[in-house]
Amino acid sequence: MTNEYNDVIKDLMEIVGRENVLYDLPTRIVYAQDPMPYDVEEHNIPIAIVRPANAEEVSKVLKYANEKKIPVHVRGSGTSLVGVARPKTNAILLDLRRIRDIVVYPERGYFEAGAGARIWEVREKLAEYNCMLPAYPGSERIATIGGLISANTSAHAVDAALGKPGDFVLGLEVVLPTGEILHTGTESTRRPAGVELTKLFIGGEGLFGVITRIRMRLIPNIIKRNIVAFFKTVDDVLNTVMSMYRERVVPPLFFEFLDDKAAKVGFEAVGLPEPKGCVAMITMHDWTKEGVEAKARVFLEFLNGMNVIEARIVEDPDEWSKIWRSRSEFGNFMNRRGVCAGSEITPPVYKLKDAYYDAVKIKDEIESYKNPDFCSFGHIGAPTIHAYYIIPFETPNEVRKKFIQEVRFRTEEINAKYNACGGEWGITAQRAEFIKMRYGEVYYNVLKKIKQALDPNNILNRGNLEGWW
Amino acid sequence: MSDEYLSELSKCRKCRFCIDQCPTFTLLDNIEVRGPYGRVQMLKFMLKGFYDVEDSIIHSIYSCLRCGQCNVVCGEVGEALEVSELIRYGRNILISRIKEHKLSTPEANLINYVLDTLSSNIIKKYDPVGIGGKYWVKWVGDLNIPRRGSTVLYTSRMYQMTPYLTTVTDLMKKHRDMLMKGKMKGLIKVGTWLGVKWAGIKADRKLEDKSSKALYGIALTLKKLGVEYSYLYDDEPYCGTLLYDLGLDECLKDYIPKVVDIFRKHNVEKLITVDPHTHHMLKDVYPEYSNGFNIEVIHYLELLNKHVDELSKLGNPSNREYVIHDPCTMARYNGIIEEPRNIAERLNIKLIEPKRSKLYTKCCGGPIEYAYPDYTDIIARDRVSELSRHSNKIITYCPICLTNFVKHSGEFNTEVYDFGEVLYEILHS
Repeated sequence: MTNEYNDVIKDLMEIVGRENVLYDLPTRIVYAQDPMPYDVEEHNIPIAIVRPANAEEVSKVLKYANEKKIPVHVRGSGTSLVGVARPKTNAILLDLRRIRDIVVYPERGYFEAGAGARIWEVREKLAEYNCMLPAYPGSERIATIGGLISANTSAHAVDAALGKPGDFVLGLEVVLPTGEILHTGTESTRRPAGVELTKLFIGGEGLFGVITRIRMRLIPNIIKRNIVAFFKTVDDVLNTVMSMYRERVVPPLFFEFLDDKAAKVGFEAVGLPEPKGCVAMITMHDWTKEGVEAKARVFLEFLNGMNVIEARIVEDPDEWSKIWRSRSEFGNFMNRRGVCAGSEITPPVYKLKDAYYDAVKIKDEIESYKNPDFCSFGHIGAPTIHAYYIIPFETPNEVRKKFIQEVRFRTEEINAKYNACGGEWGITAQRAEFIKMRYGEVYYNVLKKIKQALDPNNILNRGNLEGWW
Repeated sequence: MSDEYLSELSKCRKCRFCIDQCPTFTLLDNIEVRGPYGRVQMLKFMLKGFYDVEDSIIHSIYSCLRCGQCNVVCGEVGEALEVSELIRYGRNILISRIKEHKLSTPEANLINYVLDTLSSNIIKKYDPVGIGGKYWVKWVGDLNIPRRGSTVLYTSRMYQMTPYLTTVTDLMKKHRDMLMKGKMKGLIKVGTWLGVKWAGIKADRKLEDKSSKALYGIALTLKKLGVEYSYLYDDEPYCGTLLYDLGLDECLKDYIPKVVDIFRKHNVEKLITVDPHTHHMLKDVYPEYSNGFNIEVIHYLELLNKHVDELSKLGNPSNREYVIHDPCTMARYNGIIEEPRNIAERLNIKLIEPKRSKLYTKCCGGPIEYAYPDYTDIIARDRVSELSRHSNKIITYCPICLTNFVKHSGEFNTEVYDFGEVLYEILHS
């Protein structure tokens, strides 16, 4: 393939510099991959990895790609769980990680970050100013802020407590698919009301433009209080979440859970005594000590009114660190057992229990692999049901692919059944068919028309809106 | 083995959480094939037959520091793979393919040449620089360490090598392009004193002084504490760390028994090691390569830690303060973390913990200076910069870290000390 594109590679080198175009096959395959548990195929392998230094270079690459009618695939750190990061065609892969400067302007009340800055780096930089970043993806050590805003995910956090990160974006630098550079939003800390293009690109999953720079409001650091609660059954946890919304209790920042089996494994891994039943890990937040104490007290009272075995505020930071880590330890345990097909089901809260048991039922009905292991844990208070179905590592590549596909389809059916969507992973690429299932052809066609208006040659992230397997 | 190896590589679930802690990823422009994830995937697809060995893979695999931070991250949030070992093992496959295909591309030329030179020096002269001779034992001075005895202080020539590393790597930098072109093969004719001088390799006097003091300080401290030991003087061999790290397992299979034979001829029952790399080799690698290897191995810091109550014998402890740098191999492979801290506390030395310390310490860049000295410079400079924010005095306990930090210490108005050097100073204060 390289020979066919030799001239293209030379031209791209002219734009970004020789050392910023990687075109050997091993490197192209590495960059083609995402966390999907099956191998890349020939059509996923990019022509070259191009590493621009700024919006101007991105613009030149896109103009060139339009001229040559070569697709361009934008990639942050490649951690998308629904295939957004894997190129669908032999495209120019735009790696934005050279655009990663972070500048904090305390006097202006905002910071700016290059799209390729890692979330962890942004968080650390903001901490120097006693500020926080309102998003908590599990992949934050490596995920880029450009990817975060493109997916607009608050990830582990309960949206009702803090909203989505896009709610704090004041403006963007965006390169349109045809190469024009656009500056949106405001330098004020007050976001524009009314028609404002920033919103088109926040959560745009790279369909309408390449976000190269992000301006976000500075948010003073929060104070947290942590609560652990033990429940006899998953039903008790689900009832608690449903009541929390129904009774309009002040929402926590985090409301994670482990079912009894998961809690046992997780607690053992971190050296805590075997828990009583299921475990919920709840974090309240506020900007003052008094505020957070009051919220924690109110939430504890609420929990004690539910069918809880025990609920208490965790005072010892070491104990909390272990409790919190038990969740990721269970994640490790699960991932080390075999290939995991995950899903996100985000039903209306009054249907949480129904949706949960629909997800459990899939385990017995799945056809591509009989009787996979099942578990569910995660941000139940968000509310998100992360249903996981696990098959052995030895499962052949083709079966893995079918299995992932089937789990995706079956769990999307649950989202559609309850007029829900998902709040974390984005809804194109592997979920593109879901858009039609959930919202119908009219909605899908509107999306396509917007895409066509901005990207007449369908250059950018081709295949993500069309659907990909 | 290759099926088993491929199966291990295939367990990587591509979460990539390892890359943000990898110095060659974060400090060398965030390129994925310069991080553990990319390295594992490159090897996996090569073994699956998607491509054969080529320069990008060679560069990626041989520029791994083997600092082991990826193993820690993978253990915490990944598949608990021994990532650095998978990469190290991959080097065996690469070098055999390079030779088999008589590959003559720039990276292949470079690696082939460097590996041939190092292995030839090690096998012929029992040290990678190939100096030989009496140089190695100069540090002993007036210590009168006996030649015979079942407990041996084993330097593995590591500290003594450091004064030459700087000039060897400078020479490497100077002629790297020519080596990559496959030319000038005879230029760096090390292997004899004459060859070393002819090639223009000189000792760095500052490092010679520091490393001699470090060894002297360690040896004298043990003596003062009543530890009985001997030293093999010019019979002492290098333990072969580089053969292992660079994936020359076939050479290692021949070399280790030779070293063990030397130990046996000297009736060695216990070895006191002084550097992290040798300790790791003897504790973890030798038993795999030498049947019935039963020599007891202890690091001098472990030994001093057993004598903490007697440390007051050493002299006048004074108020000293350093920022501590844990050598990667020491913390992550040997698990020796608390010992130097306990000892320092008893010696009235205040140690400041940097942001990344203990199990999460950051590499000095040294392990790749054999072929990528420019990368080493970037990584070492970054670490010195980070450490210098805590104190203008850095303490470490590894000759490789010492060498690389000393190079950059002036820029940050910082002094770098080896733990042994500090012991020397205390003993002479």
